[in-house]
Amino acid sequence: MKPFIGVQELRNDLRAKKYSAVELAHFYLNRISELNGSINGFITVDSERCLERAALADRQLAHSNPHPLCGIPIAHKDLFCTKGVRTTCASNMLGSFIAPYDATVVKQTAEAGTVSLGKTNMDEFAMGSSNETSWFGVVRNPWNLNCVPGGSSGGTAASVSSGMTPLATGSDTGGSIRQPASLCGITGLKPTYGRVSRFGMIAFASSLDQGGPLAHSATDVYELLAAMEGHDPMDSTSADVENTTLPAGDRSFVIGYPESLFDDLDSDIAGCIERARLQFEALGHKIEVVELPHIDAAVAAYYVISSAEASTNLARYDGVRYGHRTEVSEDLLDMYCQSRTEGFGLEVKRRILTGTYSLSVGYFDAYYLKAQKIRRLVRDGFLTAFENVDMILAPVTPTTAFEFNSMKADPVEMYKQDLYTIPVSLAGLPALSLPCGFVNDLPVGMQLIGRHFAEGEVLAGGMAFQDRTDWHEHHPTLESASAL
Amino acid sequence: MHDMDDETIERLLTLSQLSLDIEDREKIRRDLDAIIGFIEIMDQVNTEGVEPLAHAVDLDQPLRKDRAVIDFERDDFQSLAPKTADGFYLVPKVLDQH
Repeated sequence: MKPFIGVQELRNDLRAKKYSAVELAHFYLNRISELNGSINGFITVDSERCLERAALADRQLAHSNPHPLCGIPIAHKDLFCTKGVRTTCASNMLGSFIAPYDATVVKQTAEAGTVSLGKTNMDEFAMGSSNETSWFGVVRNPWNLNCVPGGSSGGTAASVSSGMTPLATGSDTGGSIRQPASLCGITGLKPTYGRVSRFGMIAFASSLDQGGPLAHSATDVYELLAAMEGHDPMDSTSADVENTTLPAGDRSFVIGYPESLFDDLDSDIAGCIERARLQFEALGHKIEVVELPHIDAAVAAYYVISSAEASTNLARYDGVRYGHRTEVSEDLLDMYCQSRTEGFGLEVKRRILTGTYSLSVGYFDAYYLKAQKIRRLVRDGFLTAFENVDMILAPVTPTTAFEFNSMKADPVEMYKQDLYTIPVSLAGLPALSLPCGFVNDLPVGMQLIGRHFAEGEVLAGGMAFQDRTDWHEHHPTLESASAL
Repeated sequence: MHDMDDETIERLLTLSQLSLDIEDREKIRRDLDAIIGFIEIMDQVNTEGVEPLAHAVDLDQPLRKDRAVIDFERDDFQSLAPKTADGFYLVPKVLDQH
């Protein structure tokens, strides 16, 4: 057995009885034991239940027609509730929270026969772009342990990238799947808002949050999406639409190229994406220049909207019904205040305060309503572009993985990391982040942005690119990680 | 340039039910100044006549059938609470006995 194997090969091996699901689970659990001490991609490793589920998968594999993912290991970002296993959201507030039910994503992927290894690290309450805000410590980038893996799904991306799991779930509010996928050299999809149920996914900003898959290739991402998606009566914003299918045949697409986005982009990163553009042309796709208006203002609007929604969502943590409760308090209000002060980290407090400010009397129109108007302009800008193109090729991040603490002191600089991912989130569109090169031995990603519910098209575009290139087959050597 | 004064910070902390020590308070004050300064880039966009957009995807929100379903047990949820007694959530006393 070896790491970095794709789903198709794992499935073939399991069915050919080269190894059992239990043996496969042992392989990944051993790899986690070996590497997690230095990467810190997992918060909780659930060996006992993992092996029980693997044994169940082996019994299912012995019968006819097992699910395509039966016996394949998976890891869940630690904001998906898992019955009987703690779900922390990487916060002291939920440090010992054990959910009494499974998130729909967890339930569906378990029914598909996947074998959960455990829960992956993240920025606290998914607020961050570097995975430096976790109560359970920073996650290290497998390509360079001195660098961040991105965030907020940094633990998920680092775990896939280092071969500790072949599949994993993440969530994306302003780029939290695409940015870490890009910085860790793997493939990740932010689905259309409403494609994947949010039931049991701990809320950050409810009009933006969307769960999605991360893996080594667009093909594997597609397989995991198939197990995650679908209408869920338990989530009133879950869309009742047909499941994702790939377009028939070798369709050639018209791909939009937003030239102005490349003006301020690092020239080496721009060079990688430019070469990808040429590759798409060589594959028979047509490139058309498109304009995406208000990109700079989109980042500001996003921080107003997401912080406002966060300040409301996180009001539920009061130390009464679940979560951290202070040991010392004078009265009820003091108990609320102390419990929240002890439970939340500084970045979460900063977002709550920003959100409270923008929603407060005298500022609501100037900030919150203004941001929602800009949100419409940003979305309409994409819809106009999609009148002429099938998908848009864009950068994911302005830099490759950066060193720890290099941006932590300046929240605005950190927020600008999400310049290219945020507009897509505001517009609720699907986008696939996939590797397209290296700069100074660190991976570079690009994203293919699609129309609402056109995941099949961006996945087909990604698969076609990965058929002809091998960027997604480069893996970190992890020599220093193993040595630690 | 903004000046996030102490009074504003105090009001936000009260509304948010949070407190900060002196060091964090100063850091947050500076950060909020920078963040508010940053988000004012929105003023450069003309939004006259534009309707606010709350959700990016136009979705119907269908109602579930009005049927009792026992998905969850009350005791399972209450067992998560830091303090309970006889099926009630316990909190510090709200009203003084006198």
